[in-house]
Amino acid sequence: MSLGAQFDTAGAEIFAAFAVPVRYEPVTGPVIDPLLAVFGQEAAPTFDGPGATTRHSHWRVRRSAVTNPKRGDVIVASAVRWAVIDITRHDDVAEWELAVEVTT
Amino acid sequence: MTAVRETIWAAVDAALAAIPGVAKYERCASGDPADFPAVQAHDGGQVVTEGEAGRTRYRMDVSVEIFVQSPGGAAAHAALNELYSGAVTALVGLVGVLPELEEVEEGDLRIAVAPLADRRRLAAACDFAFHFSTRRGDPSVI
Repeated sequence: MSLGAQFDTAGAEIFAAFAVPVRYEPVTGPVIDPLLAVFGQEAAPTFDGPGATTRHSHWRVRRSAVTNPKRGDVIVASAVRWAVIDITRHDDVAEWELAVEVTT
Repeated sequence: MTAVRETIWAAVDAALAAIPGVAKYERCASGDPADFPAVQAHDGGQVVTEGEAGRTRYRMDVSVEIFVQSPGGAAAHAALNELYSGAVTALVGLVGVLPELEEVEEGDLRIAVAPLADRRRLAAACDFAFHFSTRRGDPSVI
């Protein structure tokens, strides 16, 4: 088994353990509902002001499920609408990491 | 006896808190704002610019930080520009109202966007120089 295929297997196991169903509304193209995605959050890069209260949130989705994500695509989870603001391609686990911001 | 600089700061507080649309104003904040739009003012200290026989003249540096958090870059930026304008009007407008204050100069303006944050947050930092003088040896008497 190739290394890439092994990581793809690992990615599938991560999704089986941590993914939740969301609704994916692309700017163009058909809605994907449900889509399995894994939420993650960490500190955002430092910003003005005394504190460090900005957060960086992202959804990870399988590349096989979302072939061509675009900035502005919307992920709906638990009635929160997240807009994609940054797209990182992860070849190691065959995923997209979609940085998002709340749209309302 | 109240220091002249404190009299000026009290006026700064009132002027900035009264900017239309400001949800929270704080002087010398030690944490990030939690309510938006927010305005924070910071005391950058002062330097003596002139010493006369009976008077000491100062330049006090005041930095005003404005924070806006709302979806969409253009809307947040427009709100930030509006609050910046309000801050300049409020502080420069203190000249002639406060007898302690001789001049307020507007300085640099810096705009920043919180990178990769999950709430669109923009900040503006605007510098001001406050010129005032007190009796020599007594900063509480004009």
